[in-house]
Amino acid sequence: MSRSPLLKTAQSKQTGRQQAPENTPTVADGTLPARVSEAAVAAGVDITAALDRLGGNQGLYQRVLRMFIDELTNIPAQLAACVTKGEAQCAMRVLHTLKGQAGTMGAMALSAEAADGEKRLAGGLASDDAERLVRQTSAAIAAAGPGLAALLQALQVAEAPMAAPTTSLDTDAVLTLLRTITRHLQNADMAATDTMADLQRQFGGALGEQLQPMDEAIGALDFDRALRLCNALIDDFTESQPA
Amino acid sequence: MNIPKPVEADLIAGVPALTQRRPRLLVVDDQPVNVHALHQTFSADHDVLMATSGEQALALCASEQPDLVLLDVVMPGMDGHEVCRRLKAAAATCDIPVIFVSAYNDEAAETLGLELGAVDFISKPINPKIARARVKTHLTLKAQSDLLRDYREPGRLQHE
Repeated sequence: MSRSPLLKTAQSKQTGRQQAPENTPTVADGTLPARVSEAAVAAGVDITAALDRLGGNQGLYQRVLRMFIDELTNIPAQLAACVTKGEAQCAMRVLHTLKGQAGTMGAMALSAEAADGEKRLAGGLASDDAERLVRQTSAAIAAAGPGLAALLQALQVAEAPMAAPTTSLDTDAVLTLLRTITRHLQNADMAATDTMADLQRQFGGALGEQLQPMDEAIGALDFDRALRLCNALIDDFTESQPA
Repeated sequence: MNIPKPVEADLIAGVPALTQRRPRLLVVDDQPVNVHALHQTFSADHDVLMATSGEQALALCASEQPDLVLLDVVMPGMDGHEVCRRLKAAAATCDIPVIFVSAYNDEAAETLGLELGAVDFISKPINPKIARARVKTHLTLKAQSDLLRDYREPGRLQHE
């Protein structure tokens, strides 16, 4: 999947740190770093409510925010395609999804904009209105983008001291965790995300780059891909063990 | 002479026993952020399975028999309403409680969901406390309903 320009901007400002494990300390107790709070306010994001929905898990919020920013860039094209085909239901689905996602992320203004568009579409899709709707939604996304990217960057900076340390590699322990993840993935069990976080916490320092594709696949809930990657890692570590 | 206990006594006594194992929830939503949010809300005391499509949800319900389904409405392909309809039409899955979790927050959407057999409706973005309370209520009702059915149909396989 190609990364959005907004995301690239945020990532380019990150300086070679490990990706934060999702079980970084929770922040629902009011200990949110000031720079994150300020960035959230500037972005119009109710980060307290959003973090509450994610169990206060700042690492997870960071991950889903990255995915959300990435997906936002596709929405104007999706909407335009629906409008070109004259399919109001299609456009409503796009806006409905945006409304829900933005709401969960705490981006309430964007969620409200999508809700408004969805309501307007409920009566049908007149061409003038539809084109205006695409323009307005695209403008709202463009307006929200820089603030969201800045929030992502603030989260990345804030987590830096918590990056996983480089630890000596206990191959048996790694294999045990990988096999547990395999079992969870096969069962469509969200515990895969927790075990992945454990793996990152314990061995992310030593294995960060090797784990990243699987970590991303699990975060995106692409469990089929994650399972293939996990099995490949198990093969690699098994082969590297002394006979 | 053995005097049968009143049904109510078994129901009250049986619910804690049934709920000693971790309840298994199936979260169905095509948007990862929403699945993650519900997982975080329930993972402390529930097993959380996930499906990102209607087809996957039906397969998991048949194979895993979750205790409750949290079901999105708007999904590509088979939508949540159709998933609910099919779950309720199949003998193996018709007793699994379904709660719709949707960004639709109008009366018509909620009514349609309930008419299709859902037991409740939660609006997105979710409020974790409300979601937990509603799920707890419906898991308890499901456990009581299972117990009552077992009591009336002793030959029926016991709930796990």
